[in-house]
Amino acid sequence: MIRSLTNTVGWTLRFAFGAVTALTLLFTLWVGYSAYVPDQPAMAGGHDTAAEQITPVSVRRWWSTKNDLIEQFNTTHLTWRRALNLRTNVPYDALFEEGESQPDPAFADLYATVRAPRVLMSFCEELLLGVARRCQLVDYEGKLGEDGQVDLQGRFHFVPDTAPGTLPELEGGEIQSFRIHLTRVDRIPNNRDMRLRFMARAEQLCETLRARVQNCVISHLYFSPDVRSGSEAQLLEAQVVLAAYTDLSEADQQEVLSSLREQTKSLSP
Amino acid sequence: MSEKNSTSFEERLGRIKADKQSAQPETPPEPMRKNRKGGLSAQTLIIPMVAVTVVIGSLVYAAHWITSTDLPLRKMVWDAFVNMLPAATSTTRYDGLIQSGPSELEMGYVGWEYPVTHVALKEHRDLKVATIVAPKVPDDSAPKMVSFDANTACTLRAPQADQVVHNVRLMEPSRYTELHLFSKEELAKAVLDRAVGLRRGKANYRNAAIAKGRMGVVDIYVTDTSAPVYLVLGVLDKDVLWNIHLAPDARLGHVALIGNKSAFSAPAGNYTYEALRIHDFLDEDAIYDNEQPQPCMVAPWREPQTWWTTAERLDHPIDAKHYQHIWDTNVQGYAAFDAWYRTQTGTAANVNAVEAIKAAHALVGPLPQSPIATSRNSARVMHLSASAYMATSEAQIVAIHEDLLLAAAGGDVSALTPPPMDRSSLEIEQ
Repeated sequence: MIRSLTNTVGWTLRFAFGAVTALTLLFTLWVGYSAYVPDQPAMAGGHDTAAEQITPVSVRRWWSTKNDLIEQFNTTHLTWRRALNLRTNVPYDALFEEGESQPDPAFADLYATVRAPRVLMSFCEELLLGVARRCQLVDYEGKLGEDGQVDLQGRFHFVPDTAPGTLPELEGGEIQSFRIHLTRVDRIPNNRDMRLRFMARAEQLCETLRARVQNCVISHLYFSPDVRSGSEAQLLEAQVVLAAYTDLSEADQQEVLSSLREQTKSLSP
Repeated sequence: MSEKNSTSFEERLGRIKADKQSAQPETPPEPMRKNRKGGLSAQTLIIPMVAVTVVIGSLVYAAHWITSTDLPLRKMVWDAFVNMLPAATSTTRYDGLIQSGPSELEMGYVGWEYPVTHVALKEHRDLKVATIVAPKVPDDSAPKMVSFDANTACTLRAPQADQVVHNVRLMEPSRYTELHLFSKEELAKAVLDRAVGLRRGKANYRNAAIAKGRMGVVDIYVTDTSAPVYLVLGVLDKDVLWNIHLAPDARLGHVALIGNKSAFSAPAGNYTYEALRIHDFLDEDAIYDNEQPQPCMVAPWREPQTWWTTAERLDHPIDAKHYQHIWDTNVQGYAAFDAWYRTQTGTAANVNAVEAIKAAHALVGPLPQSPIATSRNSARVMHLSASAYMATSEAQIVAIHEDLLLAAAGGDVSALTPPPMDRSSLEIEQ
């Protein structure tokens, strides 16, 4: 009887150890999965995401690119693959309320950074007027210069408003990027109107690319003061990076890029 | 064949048949059992697998806990680590949570490490502080506080002809206090780091980022009565509050502090003082790069001694190069400091010098005839090199940081993390 009891206890312990191991492994898998899933609520009324429906030609390739495709082409979640990087200057005084005294100079950069959202959130509004249906300021920094101007830098993530198109089944498919300078001409005024026009231009270029390879999204936008024209902080330099899922060769990519750049020249500012 | 014989044969045959029928079937021999001792099986692997999983999981959870726990709880962990050594008796009123250094007199690579119970002196004797200092009388009074600016040039006031120069040079103190001094620049850097952390979803300060400026404390007993003392107190690393005590008839002529955020207290009197902040003139690399002469080598290097452990190991069979590097660095560093020191004081840096890696007490002058009685705090003045902020607890430090962050954010810290904007909720003036 004792032997039987010992046997039972032994097997119970073995089972318990095995169960703990299995549960721990499952838990770590769940943690890893949770780390990937976005912690932001999805937008209501979002489009079905072509990337989520793509059927791989190669399972191994699908496994390695699926997350990238979702991040690049989804129309519901903010991701780092759709971003506006913006740089602008404002007078230091603009960061303070009327009548508010300025802090000790040792704290100037601190105040410039902490109060940067007050200025930068207006650019989120511009994105929503332009190419986005959702926008969030995710990173920013402010530095006070010797000229009394604050150099502000901001990074926004956005969800494009336009559907990306169709992601075809491609054996050698990959996300390819096309960078185009939008301000090919100097001395473009840096104001809301011009920035909206350049966003519209970026959208037109993306439409052209979408017609060629069936899909395109605006991946990155860059707006910054044009330093080519000297110290004029009120002039604009704009660039866009378009992303498409395609299998174009190097030569074809260059041809497409040249074509888009030519189109940029012909578009009115 | 007779009937008897044939019957017997039949009987035997019948018995044989009956025996065969009643015989138990043969049990096949048991197969040889597999020898499990030398092989691996699932059962053998389960326990080590579980143990490894539990250990790795514990490490992951511990790391997560350390990085996410609230500041007070993390402080407990940090304090437990820092406060491993028992607090020792102090002759100052700034006991609080004083953390102590080694408990025994120890020879380190580059000099002596004195415990809080002992006194550093030129002759490196085993001298306990209790033999030269009278027991402290309970004192609830406070010294007068005076703030002063550090020197902007790497110069020291020249000693006067009637003054005798004494030096105390340490690498760091043996004791620390809960007195914290930090500058506006240090505070701004820490709060900016906090703001960046909040923006990225980090709820707590990184422990290394918070401005602290924790002050060590060293008691100096001046017993030289031959002339007013020109006292040069230097520390290479950390920040120190020097408490100067005067034996009867000992006089203080001038106090020169070389360090970082320096402070000293002394009986009220007619003496001058100044402070040099090392990092105003030297960056971290320059302190250790002395192959070429540097005009402002204010870093208080100590004179290398042949009885250092490093010197004794210069012919080590394996690590000779390592010790040679330490030795050469100290030789070059001291030579550079001595060269600068001579231009300022007209004397060599090793004149009347008490040097140690760590100490909590130092004797400047001969052994006193009788134990020195320390003066009441109300009769003393504490001189602090200009530091914008002073705190005596972690809670005060955090409050100073949070107040600045709140002011910078205009009263609303949530503005640091603006929520997403949707087109549908946007009110646009067309």
